[in-house]
Amino acid sequence: MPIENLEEQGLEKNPDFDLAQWRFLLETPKNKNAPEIKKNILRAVEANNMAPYYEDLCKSLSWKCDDKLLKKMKDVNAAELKKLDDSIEDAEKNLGETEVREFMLKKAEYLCKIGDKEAALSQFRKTQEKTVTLGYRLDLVFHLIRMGLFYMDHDLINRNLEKAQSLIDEGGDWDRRNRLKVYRGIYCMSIRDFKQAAGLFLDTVATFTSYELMDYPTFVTYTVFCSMIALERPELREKVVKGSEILEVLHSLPKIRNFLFSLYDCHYGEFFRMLAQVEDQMKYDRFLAPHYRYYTREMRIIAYTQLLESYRSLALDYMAQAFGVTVEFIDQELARFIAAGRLHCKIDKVGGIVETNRPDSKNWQYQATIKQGDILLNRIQKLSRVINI
Amino acid sequence: MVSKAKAAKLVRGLVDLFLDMEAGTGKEVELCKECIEWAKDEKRTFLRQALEARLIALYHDTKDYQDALLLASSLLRELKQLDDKALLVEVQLLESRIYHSLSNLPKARAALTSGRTTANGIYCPPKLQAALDMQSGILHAADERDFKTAYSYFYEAFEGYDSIDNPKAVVALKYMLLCKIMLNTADEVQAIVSGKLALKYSGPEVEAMKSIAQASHKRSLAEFQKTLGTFKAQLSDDPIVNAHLKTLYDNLLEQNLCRIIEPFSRVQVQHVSNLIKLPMDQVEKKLSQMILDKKFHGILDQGAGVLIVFEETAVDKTYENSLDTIQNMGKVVDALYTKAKKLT
Repeated sequence: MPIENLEEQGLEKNPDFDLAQWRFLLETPKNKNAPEIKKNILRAVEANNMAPYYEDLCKSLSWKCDDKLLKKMKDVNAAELKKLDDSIEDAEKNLGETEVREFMLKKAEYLCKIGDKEAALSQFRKTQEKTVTLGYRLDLVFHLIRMGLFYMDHDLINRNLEKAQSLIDEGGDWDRRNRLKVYRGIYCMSIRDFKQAAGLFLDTVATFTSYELMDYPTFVTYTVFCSMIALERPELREKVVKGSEILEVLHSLPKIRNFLFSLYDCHYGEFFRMLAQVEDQMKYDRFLAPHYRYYTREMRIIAYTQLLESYRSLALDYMAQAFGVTVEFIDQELARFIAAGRLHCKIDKVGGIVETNRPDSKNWQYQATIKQGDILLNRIQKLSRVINI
Repeated sequence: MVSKAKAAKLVRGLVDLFLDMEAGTGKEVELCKECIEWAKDEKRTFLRQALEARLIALYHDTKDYQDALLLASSLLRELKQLDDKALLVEVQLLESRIYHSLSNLPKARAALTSGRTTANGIYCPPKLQAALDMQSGILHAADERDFKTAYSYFYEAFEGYDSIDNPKAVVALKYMLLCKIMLNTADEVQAIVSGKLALKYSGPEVEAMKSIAQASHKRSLAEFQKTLGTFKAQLSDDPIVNAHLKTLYDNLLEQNLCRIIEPFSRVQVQHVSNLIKLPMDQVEKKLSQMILDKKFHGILDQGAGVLIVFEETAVDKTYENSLDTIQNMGKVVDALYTKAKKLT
């Protein structure tokens, strides 16, 4: 089967997420004055005459505002908006409802394109009142979610995700259903809900068409990151290591491939090295930057747990060697995680040994039974008090 | 001055000769591209399509898979419109090979099936037919581990190549023997090798497979490793054979380890490694991986350097059931609570 170029099925890149990523990079101390990124952003701003966005940029990044450029863009914006307003009026007077809706949609999209958030939101609301068909209403909601993701406005995203879900439940088609899954997955990932994000991404790997959000290799990268932290080993093997689409893309992403396979094949030294590289990559990614510390800590815990699982006791030296670090580092790490209750083991520093004390399954079940039985009894007592009144 | 048709024929012949030499000078891709541009200018469509097919094969050899796939999809669309079945089969076979190299087996199988269907509609030259059979064998052996079917496909491919005296026949024979080894019927290898057809192909490839068969028959890992070292060019450098032999080695190692550990409930890792004649840290790593994959029930104690094997405990369902019951009771209590609230 020839590869289908699904890019044509993707929606238009409006708002353009590349801009958001570039803006994010410029806000990091390392890239603050990187000239190429600045050039890229300015080029895009000029090409689309994004006057309000330009003002916003200059304020937040404390650049000097080029007034001439700003005025030129504002003029173009005003002219275009006037044209759109005229066509809306004309449609209201002479043409039918459908044309009115179309022109209102065009105006909303234009406002979104030039980066005027408030005006675009209000225009979208007006258009929503005019739209009746389920498909078009869903498209509008998707547009709003995209804007929310562009400005990272959690309130906006949440509200529209709920709305989209209820609309889809009324009867959305598969294409839009999958698209919603991708959007929801991105949002979950950005709020650290990796488990749900992993599930949603893995569902949509085969049918990805949302090229307006990101390109396919980036999507697979996010999928691998979320699955590694969220999935258990057997599931990870089934869905990711043996997943044919993921394997295909991993051929062109050697770093991510090594990251995944080093954990799966227990090459812990390499895994740590790859983790350091991945951490670097995450720091400069708009969605994952707030979570990179959490992610690296969790991945370290997963690696330690995996190693400790097959041992009742092992030497500190062996562990340090396996991970390619010094004994002091391992000692410090283990001490921290054991004290936090994340690892089930004890360090015997005199003998230089780490002993695991995994709770025996029967014991744990006994404890759990007692605890839950207690809670249940309390609630039955409360219930009996209520009923006896 | 030469006429256009003759010029096209010359170009085609020259490019074919150059590429068949497989000299690996690195200039092949550029040469192909130049000739394709020329063919486009001169509007020699058939020449261009044939050249593009060869370019795809070149991209596959240089591991430039993305370009290969793009070119293949556009070429396939054109060929389907023109209904040029012969070239279509070749390009579909190439596509299957590319997907196989990208480890995307479902798509590789799909491409191969479409290639076979197209080939059924035309007279397929023996070389192409043998290539199709070879690819089917490779795919069947890959993930499905269906070595019986793979063996029969390789046999067909072998006969096909043999009838036109193509050097690829040796490769087909090698894969046939590989299938027999993976089926654990290594003794049949000897029978095939001394058969009439195979005798004229005896050489390093066949020798390599024979010694692998012997090592697997004796279940000796040391011999296996030795063979891999001696016959590196025939075994490790061929990606398909390499992948299967790795799996075979892993299986052999695991089986041996399980057999050795069976009589013990507590054994020193050093002792195990002596019995299996492999270095200790390798044995320990392998054991820890097997425990992780739940291939046997046990645990390693590195402090004392021992492996402890657990008995298979019957899982006691009582606790699980009691926990489930408590949870359900909780739900009942919730429901009653809400009903009681409504009444008051």
